[in-house]
Amino acid sequence: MKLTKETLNEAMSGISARLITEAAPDSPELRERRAWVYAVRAAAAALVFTTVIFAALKLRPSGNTVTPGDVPGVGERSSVAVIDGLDFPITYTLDGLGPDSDGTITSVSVSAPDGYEAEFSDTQGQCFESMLLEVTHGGERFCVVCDIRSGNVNDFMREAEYSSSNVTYSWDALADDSVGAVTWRYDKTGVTFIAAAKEAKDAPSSMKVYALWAFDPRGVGKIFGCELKDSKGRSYFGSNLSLFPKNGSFFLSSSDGGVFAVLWDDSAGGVETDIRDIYDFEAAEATEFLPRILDSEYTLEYTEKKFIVVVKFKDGGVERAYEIDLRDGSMKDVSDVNSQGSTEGDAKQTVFDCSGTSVTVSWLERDDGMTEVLDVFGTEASLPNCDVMFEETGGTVLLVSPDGRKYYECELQTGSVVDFIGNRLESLPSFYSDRAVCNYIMCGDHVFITIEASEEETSSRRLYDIFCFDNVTHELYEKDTFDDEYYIYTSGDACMVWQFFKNVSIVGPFTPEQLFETQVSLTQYHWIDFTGDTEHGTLTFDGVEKEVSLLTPSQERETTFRILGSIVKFFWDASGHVTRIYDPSDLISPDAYHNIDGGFSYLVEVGNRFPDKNAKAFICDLRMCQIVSGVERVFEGMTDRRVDFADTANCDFLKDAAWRGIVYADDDNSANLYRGVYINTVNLAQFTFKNSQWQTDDVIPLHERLCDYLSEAGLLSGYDSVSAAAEFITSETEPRVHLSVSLHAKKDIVRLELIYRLDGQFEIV
Amino acid sequence: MASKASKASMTDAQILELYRQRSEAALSATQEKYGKLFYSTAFGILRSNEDAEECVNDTYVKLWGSIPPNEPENLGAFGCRIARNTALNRVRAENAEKRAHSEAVSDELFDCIPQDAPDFADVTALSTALNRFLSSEPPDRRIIFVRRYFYMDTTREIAKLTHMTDAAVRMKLMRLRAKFKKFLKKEGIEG
Repeated sequence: MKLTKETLNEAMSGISARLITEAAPDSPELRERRAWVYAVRAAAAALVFTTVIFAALKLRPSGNTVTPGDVPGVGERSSVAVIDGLDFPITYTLDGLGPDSDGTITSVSVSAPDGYEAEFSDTQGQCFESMLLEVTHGGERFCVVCDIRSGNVNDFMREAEYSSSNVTYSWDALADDSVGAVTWRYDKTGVTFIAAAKEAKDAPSSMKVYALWAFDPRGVGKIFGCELKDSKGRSYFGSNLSLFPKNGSFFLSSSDGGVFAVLWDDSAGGVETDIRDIYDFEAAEATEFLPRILDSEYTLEYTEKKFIVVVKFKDGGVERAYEIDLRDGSMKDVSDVNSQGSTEGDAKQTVFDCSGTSVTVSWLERDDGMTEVLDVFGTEASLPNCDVMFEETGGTVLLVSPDGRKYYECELQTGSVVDFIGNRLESLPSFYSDRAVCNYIMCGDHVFITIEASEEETSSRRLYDIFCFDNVTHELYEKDTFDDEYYIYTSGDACMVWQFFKNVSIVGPFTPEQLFETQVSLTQYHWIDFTGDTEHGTLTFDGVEKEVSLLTPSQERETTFRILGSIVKFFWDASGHVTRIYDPSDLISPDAYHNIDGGFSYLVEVGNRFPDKNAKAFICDLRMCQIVSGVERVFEGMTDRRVDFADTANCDFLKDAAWRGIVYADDDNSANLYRGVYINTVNLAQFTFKNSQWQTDDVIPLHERLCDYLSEAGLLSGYDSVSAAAEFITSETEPRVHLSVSLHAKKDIVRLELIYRLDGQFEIV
Repeated sequence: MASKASKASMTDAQILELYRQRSEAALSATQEKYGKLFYSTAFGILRSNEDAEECVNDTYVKLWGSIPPNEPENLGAFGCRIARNTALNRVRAENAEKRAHSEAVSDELFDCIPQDAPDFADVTALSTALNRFLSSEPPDRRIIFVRRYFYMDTTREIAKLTHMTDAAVRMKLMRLRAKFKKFLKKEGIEG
């Protein structure tokens, strides 16, 4: 039987059902992968930002009876952990000798209510800010992470599941006697970071399955992944965790580019060990480089020099060795000079000079005479940031410089380099001299370049200008400015521009047929002048303007959020109305999502537990799904039936929108009445939650009320405008809003401080 | 207030029983549980909403006609294969423009196999080789491979689905193809 494309396609149709279902969009494997990516990104972000955020917010954690810093020095202190709605009193001792004024914990104990047993996991006599608390109840044994000082508990591990290949393990499936078998504490930046590794007890006998959790206990726990080892000691990285058993170091890598290196000191050989350091290679310069190493056969060697490791690997048939400084991710090529020039098989190498940066491309000539690029290496530390776009068969490779302002087309056979953009950018106004090029695309005889146009670095809106150079006439075409993300598509000589909300899955990528329902056969390129409305635009086609509609208002959009570790999809229309949700974990109570701004922000309650102590609520912006991992750890439920939104600055999109909010329970518990206030840059509004429903009709525009109050008080006379900044005061007894009001006249600004109470009264302070 | 999406709660076995009983509820249950999957499979190849919808409808008809006697263990995968083959047949009948995407993807994989490759036993042998090859790969890589060459996704779509960069997907695909080529050589398919 002759092998043809058709037979190959037929054979592909015959692959096993397992492979087909595994790759289905909603398969557990893909869900796990996405969850893993979110977790890694969130963990990295948490490590960087959490300290600043929490310091800024001056949070008072729930269950706290001793506030850090309040009572420095030696002495016995207490806090209360709340688990299953029950109090677990904690007693601990401070020695007053810690690096902070509030001392170091030297001993800790916990009491359990009737029917429960609880003890902190064995830490070989050491105590930490956060510890694993093992709880037994009714035959169930589980662990939570407990912040000793505040009593805050994080029970993500209780519900955590991780999977490897086709087997899903839960915490219960892990060997009881190995709970917290390995825990580490990382406190370099003031952020407690704990990893817990466990061995699964019900794994196939031929394998040892380990799960590793790593988390910031002040956020929701992050499952980093698991490692499988078979009986021959071979490792499989089900979730991209690479362990290097030597010297107590491991890499956490994600195949999308995130790589972390963790070093810890295991000289004590105990179960509780200090992590010496953790390095985020994504933030360093190795983003593109290390994943490629980790993707191939490699060895890792330690050197005499502290923090320096040597990675050796073969790629393109060439032996490579790089020294990596784990402190900053910088690399030095220490390959044997002789071996650099050698090749194996048909692999060839060409060295290009890209504006002084030496770039080596490994490639081979295929049997059919075409060229295939194997890999790209640089001798400069900056190279790994290069974006590499392959033309696999064209004999050229396109390299993009780390700053995104240089595009080189490199010819493999001759070593010649064409700098595509360089001089063209010089012809742009000086304003663009330091702006990053965001996109670059060839279209017939034209080069399209899109470049950042935001004047204010702090602006949350990203603007882009687009230029078109005619390579024949050297003419510079007029530019258009686009808000947010947009894409350029080409088809032959046709070019289309489409702009859409960041990360909202509408449809795509677009082919001309998909883009234009009119089935216009595009034979020439034309500008599409979008009006800023992402749904509609105008296509100038042969001098005739055509209205194009890329999505009808009724067409569904889809935004995926990860809430408390579960995937929840919201389907919504152009007006922001949620038409349905996909909630396989039954996380969200029926009808427990409420629009709170008349736009795209929804308050989401979890598990129909709002009146409970463990209530959790989130604000999800349908158009900004990118920050989902930031959302999940923001709105932790507080005790005494309060869900506090005061820490919304943790959440990027809320921070940008100057969101602040609080939802609190009314004193009259039986009335099941909750009231809340939210503020964004344009609204200050109050709403109520009554009889299990948000009374959205009750939204009161407080900015108008404020103006009314100021006017009635005669304070507005002579002033042209009013501006106000608001801050919530989360008093235990009376939540209220502190308003800093500025009254503006032509040459005069008067500032007032007011309090707004939730009974609707203003008071000047 | 919006209501929650209905859940695809029936098991494959329950749905198959409906087919056996010749109950039309089998089709609605299949649609509920696998409609989106079939659609995305067809769309990946056809790149047209209308064509994909028609293809999915054809898939239901073929499922109705083939169960019984067929008793697929995995209804989703079984239907996916039908949707894929239906879409591929449809593409072959279409004009060159509409063929472009699936042809390009097919070419990409076919390029792994030299023109002078010897004849081989049958399609099943090649499928078996593909299964062996993919099973030896880590899940993330084989998912990329299957998304590309079974579902015929674009690299951008795969990148979005797997949260990788487009370049990373292309890089992995390139490596996978190179590996697959070596694998075929080792298996004696290249000759």
